Amino acid sequence: MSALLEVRDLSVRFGRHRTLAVDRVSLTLDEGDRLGLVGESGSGKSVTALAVLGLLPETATVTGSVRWQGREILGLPDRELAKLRGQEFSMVFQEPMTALDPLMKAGRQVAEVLGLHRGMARGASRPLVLEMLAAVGLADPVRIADSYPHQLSGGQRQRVLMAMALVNRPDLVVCDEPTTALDVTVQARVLATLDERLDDAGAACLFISHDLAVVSQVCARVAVLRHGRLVEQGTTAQVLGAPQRPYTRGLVAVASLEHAEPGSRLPLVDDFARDGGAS
Amino acid sequence: MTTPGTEGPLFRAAGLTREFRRDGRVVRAVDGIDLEVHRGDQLGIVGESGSGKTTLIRLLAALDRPTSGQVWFNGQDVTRASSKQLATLRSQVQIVFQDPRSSLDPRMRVGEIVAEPLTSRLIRRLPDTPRDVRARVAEVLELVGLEPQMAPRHPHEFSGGQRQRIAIARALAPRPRVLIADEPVSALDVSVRAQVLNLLTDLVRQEDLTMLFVSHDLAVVRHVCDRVAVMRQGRIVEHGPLQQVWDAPSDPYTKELLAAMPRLAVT
Ligand SMILES: Nc1ncnc2c1ncn2[C@@H]1O[C@H](COP(=O)(O)OP(=O)(O)OP(=O)(O)O)[C@@H](O)[C@H]1O
Ligand SMILES: Nc1ncnc2c1ncn2[C@@H]1O[C@H](COP(=O)(O)OP(=O)(O)OP(=O)(O)O)[C@@H](O)[C@H]1O
Ligand SMILES: [Mg+2]
Ligand SMILES: [Mg+2]
Repeated sequence: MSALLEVRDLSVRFGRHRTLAVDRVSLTLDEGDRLGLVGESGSGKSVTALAVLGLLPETATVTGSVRWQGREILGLPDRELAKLRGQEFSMVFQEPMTALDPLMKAGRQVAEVLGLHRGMARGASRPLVLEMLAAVGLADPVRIADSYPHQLSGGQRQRVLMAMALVNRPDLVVCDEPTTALDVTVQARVLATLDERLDDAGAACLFISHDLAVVSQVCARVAVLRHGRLVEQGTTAQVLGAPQRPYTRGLVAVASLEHAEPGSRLPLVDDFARDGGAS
Repeated sequence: MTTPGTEGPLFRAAGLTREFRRDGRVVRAVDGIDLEVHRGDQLGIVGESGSGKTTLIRLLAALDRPTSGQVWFNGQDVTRASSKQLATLRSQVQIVFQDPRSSLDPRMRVGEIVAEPLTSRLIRRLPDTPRDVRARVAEVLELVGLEPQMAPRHPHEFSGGQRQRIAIARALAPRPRVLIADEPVSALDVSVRAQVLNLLTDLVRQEDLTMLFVSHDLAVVRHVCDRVAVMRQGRIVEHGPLQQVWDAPSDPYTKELLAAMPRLAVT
């Protein structure tokens, strides 16, 4: 049996002259798998996710292979990809404002996901929408549903996006820094809901985050990207507990601020890792 | 009441309230806040999502007007000030907004975006403003870990964390006296975050930067701020020196914040 998602030698280049943003990345996700994708800013995490879902702009050249349930989807016409997105995959985008329609109320945007992919009428979907908004910790779901994106706080928008991604019970949920605007109490609530919904649907999750503590809670496996390349991949316990590459060791070493003296000079990954071979 | 000058607090808010009304419903985003920020203070503002942090700093920066209550900057009431009267505030205060994507003009090149405050009419004549615009743009880009060669590119050609750093570079370019930053490191990986926090610590030490720093992350705030205000439902529920709040939080929500801090779940 083939994997749910199989990415082979995925490379992405922007323009003709720039270096590769993603360089021969291979990943596999089976049903129910949760893979964390970590690495420094600009290392290619979002571009990898967007390439898999066919969401990169025209300026990007993508090569390699992306198989979804055994079927090659790289280069599929946009119409067919659009059908897959929302029905079978969904994504929580890193920057909520780019993913939300500024002219449409939040509740309607969640309802559209249901309408588009389940043919559900607007009235019928309202209770589901409100329930979903409450499930991501929005205390006043009616008000949130009736607000336009600019009337919401940063963390409220981020949770509307999470609601849109989960409401339809897709088979693959891609989360790109889904909790950056949330404090730890709300974050815990949102992650619990994510966990529950993924479990219910047996869905797989590609989880991008710079927060290693969160990754260690959500994901069973972790892949580390650096300069567009995978430098380390394995179980969470292996990669974050006993990292092999100096770069990963550095990431883990600088992860927590809790023990640093306030105002002291914080170490950078490079202080630990001259990961010459990988860069 | 203080007279304009250097004596009293830099920012003062009294009974500050901001309501949003829609369809007969009222959301009180900021609810009767009293606050003082002195020159050289680094005040962290933490709190639950939706507790009113962004609304509060927008009011302090005179980007929004309160429903009731007042804000003084340098002793001057800015709540009813004309745009001309706001010139001092605008020239001294730089802001990093929470959502870099919507605060960076997509049509401009990154070099132009970062240079913008340097060439603004209000700022370019100030004594501290760097004269060599190109050199300063290159310098601040480097300070936030971006390559100066990236200056001709447009914002959409960057990663999320790179865009956040562009917004920080722009705010720091004119050497502001006051920095208001809304979740400025939330999208950054741990190493780049450390670099930016080191940079802010240096600026605070060397240039006596006054800083209002909004974050959902108490550990980040603890690193760069000396005081913290904890917000919940539009109010400040706890306010004090950082170490005190960290060691002995008095408000139940602050306690929860500290207790729920996620830790690496591997040994
Ligand atoms: N549309 C684009 N055009 C040109 N270059 C791009 C584009 N999108 C991304 N890049 C570049 O590709 C590289 C990888 O970007 P990506 O967004 O995947 O980073 P990331 O790992 O998600 O980083 P972050 O943690 O900061 O979000 C970066 O160097 C970025 O500048
Ligand atoms: N323009 C607006 N119209 C209506 N309601 C608004 C508007 N702006 C903010 N609100 C509401 O006011 C409250 C406070 O929002 P604010 O953006 O200040 O929160 P925040 O503390 O910054 O949250 P976050 O950490 O999620 O960014 C929220 O409930 C929000 O929905
Ligand atoms: Mg990204
Ligand atoms: Mg906010």
